[in-house]
Amino acid sequence: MKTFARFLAVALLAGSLVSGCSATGGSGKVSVLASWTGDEETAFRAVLTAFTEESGIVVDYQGTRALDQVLASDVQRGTAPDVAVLPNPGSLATYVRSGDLYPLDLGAEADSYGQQWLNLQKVGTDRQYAVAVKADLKSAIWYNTARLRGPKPTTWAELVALGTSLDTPWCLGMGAPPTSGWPGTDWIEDILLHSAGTEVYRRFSAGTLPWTSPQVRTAWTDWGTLVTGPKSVRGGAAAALLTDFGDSAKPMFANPPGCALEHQASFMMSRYQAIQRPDGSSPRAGADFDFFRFPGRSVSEVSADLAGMFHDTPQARALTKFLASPKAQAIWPANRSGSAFSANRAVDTGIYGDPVSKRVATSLVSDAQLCFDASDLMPATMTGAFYRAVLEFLSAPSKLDTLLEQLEKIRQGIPAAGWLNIPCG
Amino acid sequence: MTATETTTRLSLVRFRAGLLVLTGVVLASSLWIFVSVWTTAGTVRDRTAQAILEVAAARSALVAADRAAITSFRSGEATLAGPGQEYANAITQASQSLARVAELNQAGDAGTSSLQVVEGLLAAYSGSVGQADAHFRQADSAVLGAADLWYASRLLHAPGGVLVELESLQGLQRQALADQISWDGMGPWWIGVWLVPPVLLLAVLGWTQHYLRKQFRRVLNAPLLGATALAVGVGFAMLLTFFMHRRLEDVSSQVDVTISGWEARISTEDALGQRDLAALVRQRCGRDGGCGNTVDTFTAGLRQDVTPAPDQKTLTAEVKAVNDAATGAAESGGLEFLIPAAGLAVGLLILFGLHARIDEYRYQA
Repeated sequence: MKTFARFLAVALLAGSLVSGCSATGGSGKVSVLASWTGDEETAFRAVLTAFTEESGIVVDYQGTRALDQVLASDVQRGTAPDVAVLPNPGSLATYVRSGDLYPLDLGAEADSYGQQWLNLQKVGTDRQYAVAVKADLKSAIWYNTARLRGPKPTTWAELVALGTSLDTPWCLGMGAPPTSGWPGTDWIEDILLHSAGTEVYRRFSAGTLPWTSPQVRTAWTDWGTLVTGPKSVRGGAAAALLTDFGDSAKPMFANPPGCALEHQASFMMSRYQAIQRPDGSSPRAGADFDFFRFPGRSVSEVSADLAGMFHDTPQARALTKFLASPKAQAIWPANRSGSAFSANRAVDTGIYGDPVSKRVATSLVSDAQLCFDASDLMPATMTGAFYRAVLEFLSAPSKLDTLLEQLEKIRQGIPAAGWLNIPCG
Repeated sequence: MTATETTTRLSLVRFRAGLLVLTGVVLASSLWIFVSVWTTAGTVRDRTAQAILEVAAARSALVAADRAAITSFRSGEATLAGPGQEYANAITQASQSLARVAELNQAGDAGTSSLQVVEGLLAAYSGSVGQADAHFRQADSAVLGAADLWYASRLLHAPGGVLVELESLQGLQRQALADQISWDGMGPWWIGVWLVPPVLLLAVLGWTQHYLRKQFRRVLNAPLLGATALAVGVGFAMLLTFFMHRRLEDVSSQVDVTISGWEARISTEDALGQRDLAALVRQRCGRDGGCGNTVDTFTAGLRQDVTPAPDQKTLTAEVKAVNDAATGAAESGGLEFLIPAAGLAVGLLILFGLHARIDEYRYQA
């Protein structure tokens, strides 16, 4: 009943004017768009609630699985959110170039981040355009502690030997519609980073290294050696393609185990801890699962969810500054049901509930050399093609040369300005 | 002029003023209530009910499209015809329904956001079906073709997928309908309040007749009698407005009946399609290790009991029933003209009926 509602609205407005007060205390609102829904949304909302309590600014949060599409549509219609959190710096850089994103003024909060994180937050410019809301370590190989005892591999050869010594060693799941294939891109990036080094990796992520180069080709074939051989993955390529990335490690905790090792990012810890074993218990970090660093050079691949400001308002500035602060950065990691990590050095690692999480957190803030997930830095067209190529390669490894040539054609078709050049190392 | 005459004239003027004020209140309140209910009925008929039905139609079309594509790939028809004409038709129907929902949306920003998510995921869905088509045409890529079809179907069915998002959107539109028809102003207490002015007007008209009969020894004042009859008519129009609002609740119930029919159809089509998908995927997996635990969990959760769904004719009849009920609820019977006309006539008759009596004292004041 619009008429009646209008009447009531006018009456209420008049009432509030007379009493001279408003529900929000007059501090305003800020809208936030991110990809987090479900439990992750609940965890992020705890951060936003703390911001509201501190500032009096009300946050209007929207979480969506189709983040890129919703944001692109909103920006096009002139209704962009005040702040958006994106998992890929490549997309953020596009908005910096188009002038839709505003630089941030983090003040002293910026000093709490290491140089590599500051480089990422500058998104290829000389100003801070983003805040890493949460960060992840990607160069990790997870294992069931009961099944894998003794020293862990420190070289690629040792990793291959370990795989060969086990029956169906690798847990592998490529399913993540509409971005299926990304777990494979993490594999290839990590192999390239640890075998060819940081400079080659930087060139790869910045679009100046051909896909047909020997280093890139070797990374693909090395991965193929590990996961496409007979008995490498339970069910072979078909099972790897059809299994969701979130389900791939379930057989690791089955009895008898269906796989022993998984290359995955640190955010998988919460998924491991959510697995229900036949006796009703769930795997615990440290006691039931742990990780070892990707063998090879002492460098880690990392990723982050970055908040950027699409409207330069005092409320949006206050929120981004708050998100960068040690106080905000500690809220989500302190949530025991999740596995969020902070890149802020001022966050006390004591907030992490187990020794495995503490090691991940320490790596993120203390490792001498960090490089960012290359597929997240690449232009969207290249990233999408990379995902597809992984699926195609798993399905038919013999097509590798054709796939690399196709990827190379796409790389050549993207203008130099479309690439992000973020220092690696 | 005697003191009695002065008092009589003053009383007549007061009666006239009171009756005119009450007539104004009755006219304003009855017209406002009627216009509110009538406008809402129009919105329900033209927008809200249609939006709910279009979301259900989009869900049904998408489930049908998914099943059609799976059937085409499973039967081998896809090597020539791709996902098939039935798939193309159903996708077109879904797109048209979603375009209508965008136009009719009654759920505000939440509805718009939901539609954006659906459109984004649908683009990815069509892309995956296209990839599946390309791979099924190559003899050595059938496994990847099955995986692409699996990804597409997951985009529709997984938590947070298109169907769940549309279900949520349907809920938002349904809530908008509930909000529109559950106006506090039509609650029992408020109905009592709205009836006070016409009852008061009738009471004062009766009192005026009684006063005139006592003072002037006239049996009945004909114009005031006419005003009383018309005031009863305005009160009756108000009662009709309340019944008009009740009819909106019938529309809401009919929408629920129709939606439950769509739900049954969606559920059946979905169960059959997902069963076909499991069979297709299983054909492509190796014997050693099967399809992996995601497919195993999916297969274990498949519904075995599939109940017959209502046919298209039944659903069409139910949609027609919603439209008929909504049209009936929005039928005004010309009250938008009759109420103000009757209200003005009451006022004029009051002026006319009391004018002669007041006029008798014109030069005696």
